[in-house]
Amino acid sequence: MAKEIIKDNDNLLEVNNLNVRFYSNGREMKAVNGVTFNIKKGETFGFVGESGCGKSTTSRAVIRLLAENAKVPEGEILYNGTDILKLSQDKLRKIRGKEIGMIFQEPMTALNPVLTIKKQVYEQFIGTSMTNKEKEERAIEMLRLVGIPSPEKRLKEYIHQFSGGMRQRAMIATTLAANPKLLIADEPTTALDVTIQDQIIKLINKIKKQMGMSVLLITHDLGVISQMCDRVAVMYAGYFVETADTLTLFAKPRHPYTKGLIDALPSTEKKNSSLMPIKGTTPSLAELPKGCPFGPRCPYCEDKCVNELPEMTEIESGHMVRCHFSYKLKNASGLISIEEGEQ
Amino acid sequence: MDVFNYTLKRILQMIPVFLIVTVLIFLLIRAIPGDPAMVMLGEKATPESLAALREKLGLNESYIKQFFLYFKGIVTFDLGDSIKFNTPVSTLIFSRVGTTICLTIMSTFFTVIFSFIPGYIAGINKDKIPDQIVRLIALIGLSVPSFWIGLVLLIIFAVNIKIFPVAGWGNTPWEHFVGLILPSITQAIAVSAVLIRNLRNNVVDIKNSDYVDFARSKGISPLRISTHHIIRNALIPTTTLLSLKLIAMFGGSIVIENVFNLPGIGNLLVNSIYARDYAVVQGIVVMFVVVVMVINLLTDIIYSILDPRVKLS
Amino acid sequence: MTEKIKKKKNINISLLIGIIIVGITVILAAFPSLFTTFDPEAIDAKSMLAPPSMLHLFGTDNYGRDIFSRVIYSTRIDLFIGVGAMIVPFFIGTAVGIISGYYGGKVDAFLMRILDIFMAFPYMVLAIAIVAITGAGVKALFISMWLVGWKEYTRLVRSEVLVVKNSEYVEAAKVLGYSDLRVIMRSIIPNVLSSAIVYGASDIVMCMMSGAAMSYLGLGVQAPTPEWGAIISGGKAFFTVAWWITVFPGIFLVITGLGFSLIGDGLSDMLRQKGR
Repeated sequence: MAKEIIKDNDNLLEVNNLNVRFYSNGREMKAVNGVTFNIKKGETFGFVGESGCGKSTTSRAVIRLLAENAKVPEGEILYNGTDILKLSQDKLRKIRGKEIGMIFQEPMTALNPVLTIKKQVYEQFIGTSMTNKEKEERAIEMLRLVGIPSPEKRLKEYIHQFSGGMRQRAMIATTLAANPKLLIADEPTTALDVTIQDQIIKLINKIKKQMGMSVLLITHDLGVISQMCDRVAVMYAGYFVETADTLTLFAKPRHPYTKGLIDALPSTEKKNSSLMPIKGTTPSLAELPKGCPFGPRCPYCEDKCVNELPEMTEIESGHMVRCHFSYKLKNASGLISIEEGEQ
Repeated sequence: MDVFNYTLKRILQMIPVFLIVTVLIFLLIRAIPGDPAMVMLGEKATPESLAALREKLGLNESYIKQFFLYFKGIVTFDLGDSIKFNTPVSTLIFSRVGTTICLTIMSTFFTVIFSFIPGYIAGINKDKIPDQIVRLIALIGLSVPSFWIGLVLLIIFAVNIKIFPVAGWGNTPWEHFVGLILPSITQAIAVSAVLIRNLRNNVVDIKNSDYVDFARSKGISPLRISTHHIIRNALIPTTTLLSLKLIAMFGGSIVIENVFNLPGIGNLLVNSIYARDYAVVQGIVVMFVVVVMVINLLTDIIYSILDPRVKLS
Repeated sequence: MTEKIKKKKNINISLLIGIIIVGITVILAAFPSLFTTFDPEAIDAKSMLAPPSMLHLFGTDNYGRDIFSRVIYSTRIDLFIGVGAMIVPFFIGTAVGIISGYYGGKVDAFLMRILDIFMAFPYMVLAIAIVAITGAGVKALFISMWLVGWKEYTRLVRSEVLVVKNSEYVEAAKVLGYSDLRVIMRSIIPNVLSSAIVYGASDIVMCMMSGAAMSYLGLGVQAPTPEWGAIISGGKAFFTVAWWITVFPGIFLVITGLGFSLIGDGLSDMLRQKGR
C-alpha cells in the first residue's frame, strides 16, 4: 500500500481520494472511486478507458462541472494548494476558464450555435479591464495561434460556418483566450477524422509548450495517449487500475486490463495475429462487484479477486497497479511499438 | 438569399395558392343549396327584391363571369355589399378589424407573460416542485376551452368582484383598453399551455447542453449563462411557435369576441353567418387567408433572423 | 443495463391516471341514466335557475332542467365528437403522409401543395365557412373537422417516413424485391404509427374543444340535445345570475380533456424511452 503522495511543489493539480456518486431513481452510481493523481506544471497527464469508466466525470469534477444529481462525498482537489471542492461559487468561477480551461469532444455542440465566435471568445474577457480593441486583438491572436486563416473575418462567423477541423480549432482558441494554466481536453480528437486528428494533436502539443500549460487529456484511444501524454492513468469502472509514465505503461503493462487494451490495438508488429478484444462488458456502476471490478472479465481471476478489492500498489517508482496478481504480468511486455507511437 | 429576394419568392409562391383558395371560397359560397338571393332574404322576400338582389350579386351571369367579377373585386378591395348593413364589405371589415388587431396584440402581450416566465422557471427546475406545478397547470391548460374560461373570468371579475365590465368595450380609448383586458387574458390562457410546454422542454434540453457546460467551464456568471445561453437559445423555437399562435389567436377572436361582445371581425363573421350575409362571410374568409399567409411568411423570416443556422431558401 | 431495470419498475403514472379518467367518462357516456335521477331534457317551470342543492347538484337552467343530468348525458356526444372528429383525419392524414413521404417526387409535391392550400385557412374560419354551407349541426361539425384535421398527421407522418425510408432495413427490404405495399405495411407503418397515435391523443382534446366551441357559437350540436358547449352557450345569457350553468359543463370538459392529454403524455414518454 503506497498511499503517500510526494508533496511536490511542481504539482499544479493534486487530486486525492476523489469519489463521485450519481443518484438517479433512488439508485447510487459509483462513477469515480478513490481516484488519486497529480499533474505537474507543463505536464500532460492522460486518462484512458472505455466509455462510462468515469474518466470524463473525473475531469469534470476537477472544475465541479458535474450534473445536478452528482455528489462528491469524499476527496480533495488541490489546485495550487487550494481545495477547489471547498471554494465558494464566486471563487470557483475565478478558477474556471482563467486557471483551468476545458475543451470538449464535439465543438459543434459545445459552442453556442447562435452566438458568433467573437462573442464567445469575448466572454473570456468579462471582468478584465481590457478595452474593446485589446479584446479584438487578443481574439484574433488566438484564432491565428490555432491556425485559423483570415481570423478577422472568421471571428464574426458562427460555429456551423466552420469545417470540422476548424471547429475544434475555434473551440481551442475560445478556451485559450483566457490563458489557462491547465487545459482539460475531453476526447478532443474523437469526433474528427484521422488526418485532422493528427493536426489537432500536434496543435495542442505545440500550444502547450508555447504557453507553458499543463494538460489533462481524456481519451479512449491509446494512440492519442502515446502521442501526447507524459503520464497515464488507466481507468476501469470508476477506479484507477494502473498509472505509469507513458513509456512504461506501453512497454510493461502490469494490469491485465491495460494489457488487454494494448493487445486489442491493431499493430504492424503482430504478424498473422488477429485483434484480441477483451471479453465481456463493463459492470454496472450501480452494482460494482465486491472484489476487483475487472475480475469478471479477467483471465487471471482467482477467489481472492472476487472477494477482495485490490489496493493501488506502487510496484516500482511512479508505476502503480490495482491488482492482486500483478507479478504474473511482470515478464509480459506490451506489444505496441513505442517508437511508432512516440513523436 | 436575402430577405427581400426571399419575400419576393414566397409571394410568388403564394399567388397560386391564393388563386386556388379564392376559387374554393367562390365554389363554397356557390355550393350553398338553393337560391342565394332567397336564402339571404328569407321566405318572405318579394319577387321584386329577389330579382334586384340577383342582379346586384351578378347571379344572372355565367359562373365564369361571376368568378372574374368576384376575383376582380378581391384584387381591387371591392368585396361587394353587405345586405344586412347595406354597406360595402370592405368598409365594414375596416371598421371592425381594429378591434381584432388590438385584441390580438394585447393577447400576445399576456401570452408572453403567461408562457415565458413559467416555462423558463419549470425548465430550470426540472422535476422539482415548481416544475411539477407548472407542468400540471399547463397540462390542464391544454384542455381549457377559451369560451369557457372567458365566461368564468367574467363571473369572477365582472359579476363578483366587479372590476371589469361585463360586456362590450365602451366608447373611449381607455374603456376600450379596460374592455380588452379580460378577453386578452382569456386568449392568452388558451394558447399559453402549448408555449409553456415547448419552452420548458427547450430549457431542459439546453440547460444540459454541451454549450452551457462549456460556458460554465469558462467561469461565466449564472445570470449571464441564463440570459445569453439558455433563455436566448430556448426562445428561438418558442418565438416561432408564438408567431404561429398568432394565427390561432386571430381565429380564436371569433369565439372570444362572441363571449365578450366585442365589435371585431370574428363577431362580424359569426353574425354574418346567422344573418346569411354571404358577401361579408366571403370577404372575411379571404381576409383571414391573406393574414395567415402573411403571418406564415413573417414567421419564417423571424426564425431566420433569430437563428443564424436557418437559411432562407 | 441499469436503465432497463428502472423502466420496468416505473409504471407510467400519467398514462395510468389518464386511462382512469377516460375510463370513467366512457362509463358515464355508456350508462348516463345510472348516475342521474332527472331526465336531461325535462322542463320544470317550478325550479328555474335554481342554484346547486342536494336535489339539483349542479343547479338548474332557465327551463328548470337539471344541469347535473345534462352534463352527464353530454358525455356521450362530446366523446363521440372528440373521437369521431379525430379518427377520420387520423387515417386519411396518415395515409397521405405515407404516400407522400414514400413515393416522393411529383406525388409528394402535388400532395404538399394541397396541404399548403388547407394550411391557408385558420381552423375556425374554415369550419365556419363549411357550416355556412351545410347549415349548423353535428354533420357540419364533422365535415369541417375532418377537412382541417388531417394535415397535421400528414406533416408528422411524412417527416417520419422520410427518415425510416432511408433506414437500412427498408433498403434491405427493397433490395430483396418486396412490393411497395409489403414494405409499407411491414416496415414503414409500424415505425411511423406511434407518433401519429401520440398526436392523436392530444388531437382528441383539440377536437372536443373545437366541437364544444362550435356548439357554443350555435353552429354545432343544437338545443335541446345536451352538449357541454351548448349548455354553456345556453347559460351565457344568465351567467350574471346563474354561474352554475356555465361553470360545471366546462369543468367536465377540462377533466375529460386532461384525461386524454395525460394519455398522450404517457404514450410519448413511453415512446421516448423505447427510442433510447
